[in-house]
Amino acid sequence: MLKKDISDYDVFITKNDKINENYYLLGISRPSGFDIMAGQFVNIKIEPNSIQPFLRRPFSVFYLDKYEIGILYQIKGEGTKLLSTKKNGTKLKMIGPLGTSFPLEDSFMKNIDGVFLIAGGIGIAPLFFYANRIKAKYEYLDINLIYGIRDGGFLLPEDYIKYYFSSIFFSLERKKVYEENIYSGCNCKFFEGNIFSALNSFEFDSLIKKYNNPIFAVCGPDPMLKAFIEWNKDKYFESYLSLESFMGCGFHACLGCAVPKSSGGYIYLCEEGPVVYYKDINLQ
Amino acid sequence: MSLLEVKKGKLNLKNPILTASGTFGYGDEFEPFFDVSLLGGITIKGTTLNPKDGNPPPRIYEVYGGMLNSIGLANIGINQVIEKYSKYFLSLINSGCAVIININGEKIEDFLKIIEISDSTGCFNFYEINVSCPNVKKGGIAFSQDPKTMGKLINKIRKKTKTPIIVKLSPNVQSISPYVKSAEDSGADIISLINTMKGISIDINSKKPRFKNIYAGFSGPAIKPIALYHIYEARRSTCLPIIGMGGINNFNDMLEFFAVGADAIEVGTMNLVNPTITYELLIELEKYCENNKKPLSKIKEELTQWMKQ
Repeated sequence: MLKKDISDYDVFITKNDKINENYYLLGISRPSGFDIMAGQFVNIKIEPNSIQPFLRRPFSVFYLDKYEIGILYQIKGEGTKLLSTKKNGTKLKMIGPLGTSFPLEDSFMKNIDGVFLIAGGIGIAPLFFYANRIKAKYEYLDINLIYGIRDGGFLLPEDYIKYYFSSIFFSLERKKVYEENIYSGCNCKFFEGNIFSALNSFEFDSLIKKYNNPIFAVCGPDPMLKAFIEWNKDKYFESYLSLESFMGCGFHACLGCAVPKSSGGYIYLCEEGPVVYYKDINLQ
Repeated sequence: MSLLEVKKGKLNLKNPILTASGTFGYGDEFEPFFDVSLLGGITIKGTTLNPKDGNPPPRIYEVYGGMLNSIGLANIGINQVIEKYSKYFLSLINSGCAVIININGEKIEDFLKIIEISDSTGCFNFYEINVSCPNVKKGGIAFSQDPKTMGKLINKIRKKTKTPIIVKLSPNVQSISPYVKSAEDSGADIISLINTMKGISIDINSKKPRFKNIYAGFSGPAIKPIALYHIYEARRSTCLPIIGMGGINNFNDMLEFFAVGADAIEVGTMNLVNPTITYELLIELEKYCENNKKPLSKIKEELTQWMKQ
């Protein structure tokens, strides 16, 4: 994506629905000519005419259709709390598309025989969009989802999740309560604990052996990403991580979104991220 | 003469709207949003002799009315700045948009070397000497510990170059007047103020400061009254041109800065939130002058009348 494609768009809310106990699904009007790749983000001014909240809020995209940009969010602070109160038709300002994306080039994908998406909580958002884009171009590829959530209050409605995945491994902190009730049609397995209860399981081990050249796309809280890098240390799976950080501008003017590089110094998530190759960063 | 022209001492600009260092990258980051060359000038990121990684994250935290930053002068160093951006800067200069380099150093020799390199390129109209960065352990605000230390630095720089010197002052002092006078006596051409204010935020969950350096630089709309006060003090202390900044968020804010004696203004943190704010201010100011059938110089005269009474 060339920098010249970045713009500050006037957009409006097309929907803002609470879809489970914790997540909201925001729809915003898709500006003419606007495109975005899976993993990239937009930076939204929730109150365009107010200085409070002051900064824009970065969001990765959950889906993109002809007229609408879908954003999955969770109330985490003042900005998202305010966003959750906004009605259809509310005007927002949106800068995008910003940052790097998950790999989707033919030259890369032709060597891949399976995809593993590892999501922690709201980290499902860019991975869901990635799954959509992979299936649109490479229908033959298996996509497996490992999805760590606290409890059933974080589950996405079945409609959102059932189309793309060959198998889903759920890691739930309170497994038993939900096991029987969710996603009747999918090839689901349930584990108790964090995502590593699934990743270290016999079932996962059997599944991964089916693939010679899988890639991993991972998005979740920093401690999860750090633990994933550690887990992958002796496995060397090709992995791309989507990171988050406090962000000032989102377009590389302030250098506020620094993350330590493995070779020393910092990368900036607004330009060299949010999607990074796992070997390139040194999470602390 | 254009309605918006600024001509005072060494400060010659096609219009009074500039950008503050550290909030506008190297300028080209804003080209997707508007034609940067329309501005009176841009101030590029604080530049050091050698590349500087900057501070560990987190570097940004939003607070009421603005934000705290602890970037720590992360920059690519003067040689790479010239290599990567000199063509772009020269194109801006050819369009009448001044390019100001914000210069930082740990010791006087660092400043002098950067100036030597910069002088040889001709791609900067002004040198802004940063003696007010609160986010680095060496240099920066340390040169503002007393007016004499600062004056010594400015004096050495003055002897080194004919390019106009701007001295960027800190609001983290008891009184700004002695610094303004020292800058003037040491050969500065222009004063710019204010840099960010020192501030702290505590994470009550971890029971620790949010920033590893403990304090960070506070900027944004909340600091405007403090900026106006310091500019007022500076105006009463010198006849040198003053570039005012600190919390400008809209057209009326900008006029307030002219009303306390600023000759030009810089927009800082708001560039991060609204990347077209400087362009919007420019259009509004042009309309304002046209509607009032007065050049900006006349409007400034009227706005500062109260200070002469």
